[in-house]
Amino acid sequence: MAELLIKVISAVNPDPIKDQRGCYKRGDIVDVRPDNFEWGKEEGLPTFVKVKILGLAVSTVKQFMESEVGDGFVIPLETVVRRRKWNVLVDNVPAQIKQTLLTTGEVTVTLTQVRNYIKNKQLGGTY
Amino acid sequence: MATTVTKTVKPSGGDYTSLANWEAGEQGDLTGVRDEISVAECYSMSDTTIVSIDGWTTSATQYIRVYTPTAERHTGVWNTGKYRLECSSASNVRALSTTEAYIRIDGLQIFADATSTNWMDVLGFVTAYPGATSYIEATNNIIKGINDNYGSGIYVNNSIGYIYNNIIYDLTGSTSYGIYTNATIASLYIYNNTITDCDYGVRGASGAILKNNLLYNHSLGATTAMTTGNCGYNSTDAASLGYTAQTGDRVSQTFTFVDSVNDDFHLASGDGGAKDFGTDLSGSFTTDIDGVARTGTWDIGADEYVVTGGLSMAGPNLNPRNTSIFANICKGVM
Repeated sequence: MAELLIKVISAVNPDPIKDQRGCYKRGDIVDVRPDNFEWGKEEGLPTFVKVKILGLAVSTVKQFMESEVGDGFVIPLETVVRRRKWNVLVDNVPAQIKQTLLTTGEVTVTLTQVRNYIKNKQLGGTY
Repeated sequence: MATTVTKTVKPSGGDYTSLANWEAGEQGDLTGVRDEISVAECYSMSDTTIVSIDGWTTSATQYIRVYTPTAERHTGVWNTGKYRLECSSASNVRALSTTEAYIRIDGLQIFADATSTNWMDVLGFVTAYPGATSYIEATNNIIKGINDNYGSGIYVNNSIGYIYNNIIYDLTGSTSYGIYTNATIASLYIYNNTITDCDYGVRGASGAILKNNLLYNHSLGATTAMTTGNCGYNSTDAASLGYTAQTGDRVSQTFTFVDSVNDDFHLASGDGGAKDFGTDLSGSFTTDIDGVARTGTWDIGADEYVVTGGLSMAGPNLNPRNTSIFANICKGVM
């Protein structure tokens, strides 16, 4: 089981380029750890929630921490253009999951329950 | 006056479990309602998540500080019992990078391993800030790398600030640098660093001021692209410093370290290349990388030699800035 640390309060910067490049937005996956990881005191509500996905290895979901980078033509490949490529649509998940998440700060689910709510911000599809 | 808000980074029992998570949780506008100095206090752990400090709004009096407290700090030699940021990557990246204009990195151990033919800087201050609109510090850190093709130990694009009392080594790979800067605005002060075993020790620019640095065993040169008039009291084992020697500069020196084979670059008692050959920079700082008070004639490099049993332990200079100099830099006076 993998545990995803998800930011639920968006940071904002008045510079739109810096805002997209640097600021975590609601639903961005900040960290991925193995199950039963001992999180810190601030790694919970109101700033973060944790989604624990059964049967999913950390190595599989590490990709959710990737940033969107340049296209290699106009913008160099190593230049980050968006803080996170993947986002969890926390406001669109089934009501029971959302209710548990936002009141307790964590929920345990299967991949089937949430994969349609893990969105690739760059390409637009879901996981 | 800004409020200092300190959060701990610990493997357990702290506020955050990685420096990267601290950044994610605390990022924001420090200048508005928060009116804050945001501090990450790092404790003993191997932190392996690459850190990017970005998206914040900062100012000269509302800035970011990442540091280790005294008991959690190295003593001038890489210590696996203290906080260390140890990152590897197969893509072009920096282990710890920031785009923020006002930030201070103090007392960390940072290691970067580029696992492919890519480049990897260890510590990077990435954004250019023309004019007196920035102030950065990198102080009392141990920085090392491996396989960092075209990488740097410390990279500073174009910011005002200080880089002092750092030990930087093993930036190997194709054309790597201990310190690399594009600083063309005044001024980036590069003082009292010990830089060893890189391709180049320092790659400078017209705004870089280089004093009291120990530059040892660099395969391509002690420095490159330095403005000669900005240099002095640097010492190297090479036949040239890469610029015409200025007052106090020393070439073809033999350094004697405590144990260079095991990366202990403290000066030994018999050193004749750096000990007592520096210039007094006490207007900027007064201690060495171990927190030892620099007294008398300064040594060149990050370490100030003291006789065993005669330590003058002022402690790490956790508030090192000469406030009048800092204030003047921010006003664009210096």
